[in-house]
Amino acid sequence: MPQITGRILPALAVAAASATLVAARAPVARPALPGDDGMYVGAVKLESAGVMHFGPDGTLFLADPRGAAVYAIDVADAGNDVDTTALEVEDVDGKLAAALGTTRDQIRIHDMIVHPRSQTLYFSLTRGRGADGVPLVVTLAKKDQAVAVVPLERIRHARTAIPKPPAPDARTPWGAPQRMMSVTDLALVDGELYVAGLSNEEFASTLRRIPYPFGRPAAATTVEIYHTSHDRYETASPIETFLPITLGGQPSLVAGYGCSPIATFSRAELATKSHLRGKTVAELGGGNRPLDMISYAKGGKEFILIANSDRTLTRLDAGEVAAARPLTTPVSQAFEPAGVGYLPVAIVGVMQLDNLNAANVVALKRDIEDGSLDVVSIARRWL
Amino acid sequence: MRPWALGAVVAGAVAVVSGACDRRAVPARGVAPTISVRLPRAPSGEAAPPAPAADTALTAGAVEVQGIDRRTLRALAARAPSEARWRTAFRVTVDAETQSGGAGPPHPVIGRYDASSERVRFVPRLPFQPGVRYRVELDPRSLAALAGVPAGDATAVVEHRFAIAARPLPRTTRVAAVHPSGARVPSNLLRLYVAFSAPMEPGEAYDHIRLFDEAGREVRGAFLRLDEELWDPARRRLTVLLDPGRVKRGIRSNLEAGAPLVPGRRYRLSVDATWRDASGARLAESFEYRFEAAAPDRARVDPAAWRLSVPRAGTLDSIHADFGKALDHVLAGRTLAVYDRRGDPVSGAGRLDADDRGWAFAPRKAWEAATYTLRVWPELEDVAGNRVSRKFDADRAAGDADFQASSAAAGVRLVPFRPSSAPAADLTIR
Repeated sequence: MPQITGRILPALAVAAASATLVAARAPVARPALPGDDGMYVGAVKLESAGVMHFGPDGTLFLADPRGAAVYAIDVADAGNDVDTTALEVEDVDGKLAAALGTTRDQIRIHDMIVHPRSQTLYFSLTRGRGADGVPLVVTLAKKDQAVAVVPLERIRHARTAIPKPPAPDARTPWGAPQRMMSVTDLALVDGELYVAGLSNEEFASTLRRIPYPFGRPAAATTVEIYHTSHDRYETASPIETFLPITLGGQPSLVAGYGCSPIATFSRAELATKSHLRGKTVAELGGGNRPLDMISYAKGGKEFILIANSDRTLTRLDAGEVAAARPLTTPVSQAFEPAGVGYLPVAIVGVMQLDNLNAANVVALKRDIEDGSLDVVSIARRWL
Repeated sequence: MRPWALGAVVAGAVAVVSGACDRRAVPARGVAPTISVRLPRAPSGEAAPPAPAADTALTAGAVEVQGIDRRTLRALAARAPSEARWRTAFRVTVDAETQSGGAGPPHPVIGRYDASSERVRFVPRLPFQPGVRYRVELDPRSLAALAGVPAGDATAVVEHRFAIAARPLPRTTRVAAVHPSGARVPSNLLRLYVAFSAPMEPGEAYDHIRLFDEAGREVRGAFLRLDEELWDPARRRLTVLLDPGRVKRGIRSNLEAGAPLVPGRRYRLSVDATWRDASGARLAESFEYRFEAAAPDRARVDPAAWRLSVPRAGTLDSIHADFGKALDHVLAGRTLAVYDRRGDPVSGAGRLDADDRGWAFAPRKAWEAATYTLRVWPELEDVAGNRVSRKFDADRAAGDADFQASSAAAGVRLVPFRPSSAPAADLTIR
């Protein structure tokens, strides 16, 4: 089958190619001292692209679980869009794939977040598969839906290693380390980057706190919860998604677990303890995983919005979460929710969530009728 | 209108054609431009994004258009239009035929444009991909407008399609092992490891690993599906967790759907051959691990109860520990070590045996008639997640002391042994 039409231009000699490539990839000279934020201009060499988070100043935090690193990246996104219009992108994976010169099946989206000022969508994704897969951060502009690739090969950034649990004994080498920390979520709060994850070996759910700017030592707390309706048992299941929030005046985290309790942790306690049990305040109902979580204010109240694998979008009242007592009573039937009640918002298939602007929440959503992956806006007035 | 100025048709696989660059004379105006494609160099497998230098044309491929008059080329080189402006005259898109669905015109492929004295060129931001069809459109009139020169007798839009052959993908990767590996596992099994002979493609594990009961029905929801799969750095070993919500006693999903494994029943863990490895090739063959679920194991790992076979002094024979039950294959591989009486690690090789129910350690230097210590780190777990320091599944209501035991605050257990000059004997350290 003829696969190539058109004239093929001769390639240059391989030696010349390698030489020029080396030149092109030569590291950019570091300034003598990085900036106050610890950043310098150079290449972010991702081994994988994972979850992302924007700091309030527009610094992008990006997890590279395979590279066991977290990056703080100055994306130099100077846009300042104060418009409160919505954003709708049909077939977004097809669109991103087309812009990246490939087909939809060659794109794997890991996360989607919104730049806090420009309202530009940022996607972490892998283009291509296997050894040919390239981890990327790709933007989609709200104004014209133009797709662009964040130039990670030369960008202001800082890197820190994801701290692993200490090895049993560094002096007893049993071969190359195979421990990895997956990163399920991360967020910057109070000058610390909270990183939730799970090891591929020991079964322990760990919250790491990495001071930002990077450089000072990180701390870790293993976290457990009473699993929802049965307070007889506890679990070290992984936190799937979490949200820094102030509850009743207390700096806290709200964390979502698989199958699917919602628990709160005091940040003051996380800062001082190496092992902490959270307070389970709600059960969204079994057979479900929380996928993403955001908060927003409306009418003088704060709400928590949760995207779910097997339920509708759900909204919790942060005031009720703050006042909730720990769950102690079992539910009586399958799929029954318990604890703090929630508003089931009649939207399904939401995989990623973020605040777009003062009037809209934006979601990455699988359409259950035609199967397409779309970006949709949901007006806060309905939430 | 069908483009009428195509280059030669080249059949077959990706070819890197050596030789000097094609340097044809620049034709007079009124002759249609010629579109040609430079193929990307075979990928190196390097995951780093390509550098945006001129040379990415070698790795990413390029589309070049010749036969454009010099005046237009000079003006384009001087003006250096933005990518968005270039696209008004010259664009590369993924051919709609290979991009199923999607409304509206396709987003142009992102890349860099430039003009030289002989040609204009597009270099994609990421390499052209095997198996994808591309479409190139060049509008000489828009190009003249972009250059700010009169269109004159510019020809009609030139269009060109090309594709790069998919590479042949030999199917050589296999499942090398699954742990645990014994014929019986406790019904509260927490964790499985699937090891492969070569790196795998992450992202679709749960489409290819399934658990079936003895009637051949799939046990649905048996595994904890995480967005990010738990691979080792080489992506040759996947950690699969049985949903802890279903393994633990009393957790509602356990009550609702039942624990995934029921004691006394037989199961089959299946890895199907449609799973792709890192090269994109499917597995060479499917894999099955058949086992029977035994009674749940809710006991701590107790090194004091291990049965040690202590070698004689002066030999290189192995010390052997029989755990009495299968321990976690990976953790047991790195949480056990032998130390001498001075507190230094004894060099040698440890290896699990008997389906991870035992561990043998062969020293590099002969044993002395002195006291050694087998050190056991608290991270060690059995296949059900029970640790040395605490059970996986502590019961608060029953006043279980383990409920308050923090898994983080446990120390290393020391199991002493002393090779002697007497004949080897089995003994249980108590």
